[in-house]
Amino acid sequence: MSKAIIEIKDMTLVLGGRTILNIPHFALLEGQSISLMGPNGAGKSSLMLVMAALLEPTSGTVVYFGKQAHEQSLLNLRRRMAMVFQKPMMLDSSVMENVEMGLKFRGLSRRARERQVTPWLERLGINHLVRQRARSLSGGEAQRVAIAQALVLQPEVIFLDEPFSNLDKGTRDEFKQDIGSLLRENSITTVMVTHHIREATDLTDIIYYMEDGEIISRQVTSDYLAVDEFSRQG
Amino acid sequence: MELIWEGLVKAFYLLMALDPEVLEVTWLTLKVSGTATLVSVLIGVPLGAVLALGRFPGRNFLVSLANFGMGLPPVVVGLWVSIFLWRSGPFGAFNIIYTPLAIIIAQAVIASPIVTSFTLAAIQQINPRIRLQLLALGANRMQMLWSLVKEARLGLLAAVMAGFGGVVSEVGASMMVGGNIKGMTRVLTTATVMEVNKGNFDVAIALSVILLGLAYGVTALLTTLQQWRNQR
Repeated sequence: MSKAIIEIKDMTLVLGGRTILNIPHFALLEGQSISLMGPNGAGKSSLMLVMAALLEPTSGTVVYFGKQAHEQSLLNLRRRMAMVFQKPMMLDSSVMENVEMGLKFRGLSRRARERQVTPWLERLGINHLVRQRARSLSGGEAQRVAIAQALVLQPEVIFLDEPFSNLDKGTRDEFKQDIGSLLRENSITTVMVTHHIREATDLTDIIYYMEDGEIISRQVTSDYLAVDEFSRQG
Repeated sequence: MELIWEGLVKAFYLLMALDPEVLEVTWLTLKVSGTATLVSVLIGVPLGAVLALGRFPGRNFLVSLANFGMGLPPVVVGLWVSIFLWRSGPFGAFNIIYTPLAIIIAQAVIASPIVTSFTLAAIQQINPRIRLQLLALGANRMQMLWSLVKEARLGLLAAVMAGFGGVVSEVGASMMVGGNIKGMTRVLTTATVMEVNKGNFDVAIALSVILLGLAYGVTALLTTLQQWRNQR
């Protein structure tokens, strides 16, 4: 049985006097790919930020890779994970500098950075953009750069916060397929926030549905697809 | 009008003749104010960054102090720096008073709050989500600080310009701690005041034109650098 990479127990997150999250138990297993779905304000992105060790819960425990957060360096912990935000925030420098930034933070030499970055730039079809200023990119290009920025770090877990929301339909479909095969090829544990059931079923194995800061249902994607197929035939 | 014209002609001649005294005063002005600006950048940029990013008790007080410091009257700074540097003062043993170093200290005190406040504003303007992004990319505290400072570089160049403009044009502090000693602590502003007191308005106008030219030259250089970086 796969071990839990992140386990949440009796966790609450209160911000400005409002309970944003109330999660009695949740476990993300190694190799799993899950979707968090639910209406706006359900707490999906907040839960993801807690899992990425970017937001400290108000109470409860979060166990990362078998150890509680306070038992390990938060920096080292964050360096085992990567996140792609809904609207990629590019620094005011070239695409190359943006993509290799995380590797630079980890102290990799210029040569090592180049060695690690180049295959991803080619794989994501953005190697022609490397000298361009990152802030001049189109939505689709910026999203690819953001994905490259995360994947070059070879993370054990990747968090995707509505990664396709800013893309037009054509770009979204193409990009979704690309990301899907990338995640499968590299067997990266994945957590994705999405509003689209099709994205969730295409890219992940389990769908968690959230409302008012709580997880209210868990459904295996294959079961969902079977029911969907059955109801369409009926 | 005649006086102004004469002053402009005199300035032209002084510059063309490469008058050694004028060149010496101009060079000292550039050296002293440039060094004071550099010192204020070394103090003001990290301080401004810490105030922009940190959340600690007394932060608001320090921010208001930095903002208040932007309008510090140079004469008051000059007086207090003099008190500290006088032979009978706490740092009297160092014999700094009436030296270029004394002017640098006083001007750095004037420019540091300006650079701090500009840095604070420049870093606070950066989208807060960039900080989250940097954390997610695995930046440690110093790496994040440095990345944000780089991100705010256009605002920081404005801070340098404001700091330099503030000190190159002040006269009160330089006069009090430097003493306007010929060949030693005479800078363009103190020389201008002295020439006015002596009734040499043409020379005073000439010096003021050189001062304006110097201030504009440095600002133009920094602006070019700022806009070039912005257009890249």
